[in-house]
Amino acid sequence: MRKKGYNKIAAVVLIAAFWLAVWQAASLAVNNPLYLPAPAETAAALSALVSTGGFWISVMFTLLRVILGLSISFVSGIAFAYLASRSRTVLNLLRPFVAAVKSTPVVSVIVLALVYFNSSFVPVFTCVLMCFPIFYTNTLSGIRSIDKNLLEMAAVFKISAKRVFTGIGIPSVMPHVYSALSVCLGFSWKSVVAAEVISTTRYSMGYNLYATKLYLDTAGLFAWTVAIIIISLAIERLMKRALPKGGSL
Amino acid sequence: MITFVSVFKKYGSQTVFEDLNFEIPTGKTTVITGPSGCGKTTLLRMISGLDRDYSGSISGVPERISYAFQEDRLLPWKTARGNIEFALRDVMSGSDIDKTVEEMIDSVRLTGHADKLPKDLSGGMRSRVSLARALCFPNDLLLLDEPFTGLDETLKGEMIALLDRLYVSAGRTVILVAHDPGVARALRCGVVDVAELKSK
Repeated sequence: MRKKGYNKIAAVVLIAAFWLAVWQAASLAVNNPLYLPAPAETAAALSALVSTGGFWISVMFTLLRVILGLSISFVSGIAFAYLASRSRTVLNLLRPFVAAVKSTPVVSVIVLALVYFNSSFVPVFTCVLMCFPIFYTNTLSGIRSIDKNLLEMAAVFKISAKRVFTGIGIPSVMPHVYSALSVCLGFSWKSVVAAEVISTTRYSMGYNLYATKLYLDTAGLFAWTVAIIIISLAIERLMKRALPKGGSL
Repeated sequence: MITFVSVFKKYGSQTVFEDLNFEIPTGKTTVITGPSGCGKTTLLRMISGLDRDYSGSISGVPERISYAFQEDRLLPWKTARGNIEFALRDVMSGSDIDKTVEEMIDSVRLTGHADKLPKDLSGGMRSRVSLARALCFPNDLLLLDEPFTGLDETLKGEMIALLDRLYVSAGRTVILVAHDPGVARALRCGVVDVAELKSK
């Protein structure tokens, strides 16, 4: 068992070493840190970044926007999916809206949001609009997938509506919600940071990315990107541990 | 008496029952037989109130019904024990549930399997969990739709004996769908042949 664990770690280290070598080789070939900084330069830039208070403030505010955007889309997606499952009118009203939002490029949403909101709310709005359809459609398909045979069984045994909801409804729908959450975790980071870059939101990781481009600080750009990837993956791992087994994160 | 008066039932353009008139005695066990597709399960669904899409009337059906469906209809995320408890939670207190479930698990020969999920049980075991759930749910009418399918002869004999002890000998109302005429003989009960009813 322990040997299997060591083999897994060795495989991860080897794969990481391979890609770092590819990166190093590419940077040597390009031979211009403005285009492609070496892994060591990026690591140095990242190390310098994490030792500043500004980095952590930006991370915290971006994280707050991601959490806020995810929470709003999570709650509203599930609530509207429930309403749509109960009412054909709500379903028909939401169908064109969800279809339109699904095929709208994220950048259009950001530019549109800039017209209506101040720049600090644009990333949250963008995240909500991008994640809402995923939570909505997944939850709705989860509700539709509830086994009618189980509902009939509950009806015969006169099981209360509350226990049908908690004992049949929630367990049937949760795998679909977990799958939406899994997609949205990555998606929310991308949409929030993209919105922060375009709307130049103060105290944000996106704004810092934008600033590195302004100052031609490519190593800094890579360092911020690596930081975003690490934090996004760390949150995904945390969520995976927090959710019960059977979730598809 | 559970009384069917001028019952007409259709599935799309296909007529299942046409002017069905008959009675099923209460306080007794009745075995419903007939060829596949003749409407035996439909009859149980109409009695249970799950299928109300018919004309005519069905009267005298008791309020408290228990039903072992043709399929096991177990919650995949609950253990065998959890599935039985789920049906009992609204009608029994916690300590009664524990005692009843434990006894019933033993009676249907599932000792040692109570904490397994349905996916870890064989088809026959799942049928017995479903049968256990129906048998121990407090009821005035027990509906059983081919409850012994998939059981070997020994287990089938034991389940028939259990049904006899808890229901048939106790004079409780049971309506049981079975292909095997031996079931009615073993339970010493009346038989209703749906094909014959339809031809009347």
